[in-house]
Amino acid sequence: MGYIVGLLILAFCLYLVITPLLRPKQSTKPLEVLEEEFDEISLESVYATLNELEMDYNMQKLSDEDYQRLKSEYENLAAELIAKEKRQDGNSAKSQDNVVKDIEAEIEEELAKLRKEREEK
Amino acid sequence: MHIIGNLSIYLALALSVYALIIFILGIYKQDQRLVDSGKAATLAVFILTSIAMFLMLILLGTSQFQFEYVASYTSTDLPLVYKLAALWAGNSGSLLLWTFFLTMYTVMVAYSKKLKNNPMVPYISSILLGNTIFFYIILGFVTKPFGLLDFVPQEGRGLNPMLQDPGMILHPVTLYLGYVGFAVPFAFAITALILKTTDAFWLRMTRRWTIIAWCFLTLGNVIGGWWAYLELGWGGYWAWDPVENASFMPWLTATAYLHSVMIQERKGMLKVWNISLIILTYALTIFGTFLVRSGVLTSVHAFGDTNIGSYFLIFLALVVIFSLYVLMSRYHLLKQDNGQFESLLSKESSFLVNNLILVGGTFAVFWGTIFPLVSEAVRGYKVTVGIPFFNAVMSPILLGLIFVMAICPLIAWQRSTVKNLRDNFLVPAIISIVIAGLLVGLGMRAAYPILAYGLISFMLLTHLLEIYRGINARRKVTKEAYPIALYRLMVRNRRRYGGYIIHFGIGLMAIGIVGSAFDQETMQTVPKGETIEIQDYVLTYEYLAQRREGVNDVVFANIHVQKGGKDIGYIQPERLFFANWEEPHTQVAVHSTLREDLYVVLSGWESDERATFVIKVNPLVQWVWIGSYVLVIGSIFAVWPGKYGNITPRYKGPKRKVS
Repeated sequence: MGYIVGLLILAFCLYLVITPLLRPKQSTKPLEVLEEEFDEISLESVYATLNELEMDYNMQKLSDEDYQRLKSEYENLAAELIAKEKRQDGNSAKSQDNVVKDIEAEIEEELAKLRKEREEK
Repeated sequence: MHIIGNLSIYLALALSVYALIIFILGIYKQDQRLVDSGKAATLAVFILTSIAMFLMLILLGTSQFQFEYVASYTSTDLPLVYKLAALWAGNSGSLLLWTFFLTMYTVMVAYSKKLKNNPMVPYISSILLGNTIFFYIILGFVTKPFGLLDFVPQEGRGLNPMLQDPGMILHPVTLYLGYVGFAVPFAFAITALILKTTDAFWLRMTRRWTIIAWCFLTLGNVIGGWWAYLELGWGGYWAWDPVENASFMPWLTATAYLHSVMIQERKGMLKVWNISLIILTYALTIFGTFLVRSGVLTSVHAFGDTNIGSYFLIFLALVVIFSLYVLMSRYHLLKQDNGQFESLLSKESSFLVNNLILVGGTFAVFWGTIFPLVSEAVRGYKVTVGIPFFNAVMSPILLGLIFVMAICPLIAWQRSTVKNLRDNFLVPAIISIVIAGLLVGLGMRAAYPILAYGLISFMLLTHLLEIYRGINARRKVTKEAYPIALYRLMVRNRRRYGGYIIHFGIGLMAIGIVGSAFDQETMQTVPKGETIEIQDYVLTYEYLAQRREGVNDVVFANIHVQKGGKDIGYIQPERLFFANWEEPHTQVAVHSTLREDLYVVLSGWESDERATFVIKVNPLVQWVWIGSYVLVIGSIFAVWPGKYGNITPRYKGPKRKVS
């Protein structure tokens, strides 16, 4: 009995291990895909930073001066990232002024959205 | 049964080796079929380990004494729950449980939805498989769980009475879940190094793993303390025993790691430090296992009846050498940090101080633990470092940590000003000073508890203030009611507020730890009807009696207890005599309140029924257990899945001036 069960277990394990080898050949995902996960600061994380700065300021952990300086620093960073995204989208037909206005509006919109989220949730 | 059991072990070993090879081939040839076959092999190994463990549980539960392991650790009269718990009473069974957790974690990683088709998976799985192969070599060739005896004994040797306790069911399992859990972030870290992906991706992926492993390790330590407190009868819960230290050291480094990863996630800094910490944590879990299994140091935890320790020492050396090699070969990449400390007054600086204290504490405990070995090597005889050394070194470290914990929540990332610091800390500091003053007024004179309770209250208050300010900041925008604002504030940032709950738990535990250091003890031999007084307790020894519990005899003393003239009731300290075990066992009687524990041990008795009691009053011990419940709640809160808080804010370093 023990031998029969043993053989069944062995057969099952071999089935598990061999089945993938019988499939058509497929390459593994290249390591380059990991590049996307690298240390690049994403727009979402900059928005999260701005949100956290605002919260810290409201909780009196940051001085006015530091808050304004850091806020403008990260807003500029967000603007840079949006501009980069827009450039990549091939949206270069617009004038530079319009792009800047669009970016400012987008940041404000995103921050307002985060505030509203706080209100709603 | 032994055929299936042994087949499971050897087939799992063969498949682990196969999986490792096929993963390496899959990586080399970039062939997904090979990687998938490797993944299937990890699943097969997990199934085989489950079969082996299930079989062993059946053998233990049905008292199959022809198996050496079953005969060594169980007997027919043992309650079923302890027959099953005997799985981790001996070397081979406990290593089988360890391997079960390891293979389970490997499958969870290999088949993780988040990591589907991620090129890191074969690397991570290979590293975990390297560990699995080691454990299967031990199970297959050194300490075999399914070894048969030449004869079938009528009865087994039974389980050590000290292990017949609910602590036996929980302590090893939680501890192993913690120990093995750190293999996962370790494997991710080494993979990140091998692939030269030195960003915070691996940290994000292992965030939950690490917190869960840390929570289990904490629970394992606390349950171990609780078990020792009730079972060993020496009156305390932590004796700085080498094996206790062995599980405390990885806890310290893992705690440091949990904090320092936040700096890397937000600022891209401390990459070398974080990788070193997780390597150190994992190496310390193996070192701990080596200490438990080798018997090189005298300990209440006795596993050391084989040469298994030397295998763990070799494995530890291999892990450390391999890890350091990979770390050093990628050192230049890790040094390319993209962030800097902007200010000494910042959250990241406080995390760094916390790390230095924790690692300093680890070194102190390590030194105290191995000192007998060092002294033996140098002087030729063992000099044991006792409890006073550890208490003297670790007490200021505990206070330092509590102080940093108190400061950390109220300062911002990047930069805080002295004015902010003053505004935020003034109220908690004043209240803490008042509390310390009250303690002095109530008659407390020793400097250490006054300072400690002052700091603990400061820490608890700063946390409460942080939550209160968070609620107000939310309400400023949302105009929500306070309870709703509190709920949403916490749920939207589970990691931060889960961490605060954990800090709160540590604070409550610290109340107990500091308090229990001021215990009082008396040992008296009294005739029937006599009283013993300790503090405001009056204990009247009424009689000694005997009863039978199954095949065991129990001798107990009936003691009437009064406190401050008020009747509290009866307690019955016991001595148990086992049919299958030579040494009797002490069952402590504890009357526990939030203020103190009355702890009574029946130490001995004479033919004229005079009895000797050891009686202790241990202040505030219950807070240690309450704090650990809070800590578990905080950990669960922190890892609970949710749609918020999944994006971590990122901070840049200050702009470097270029000359």
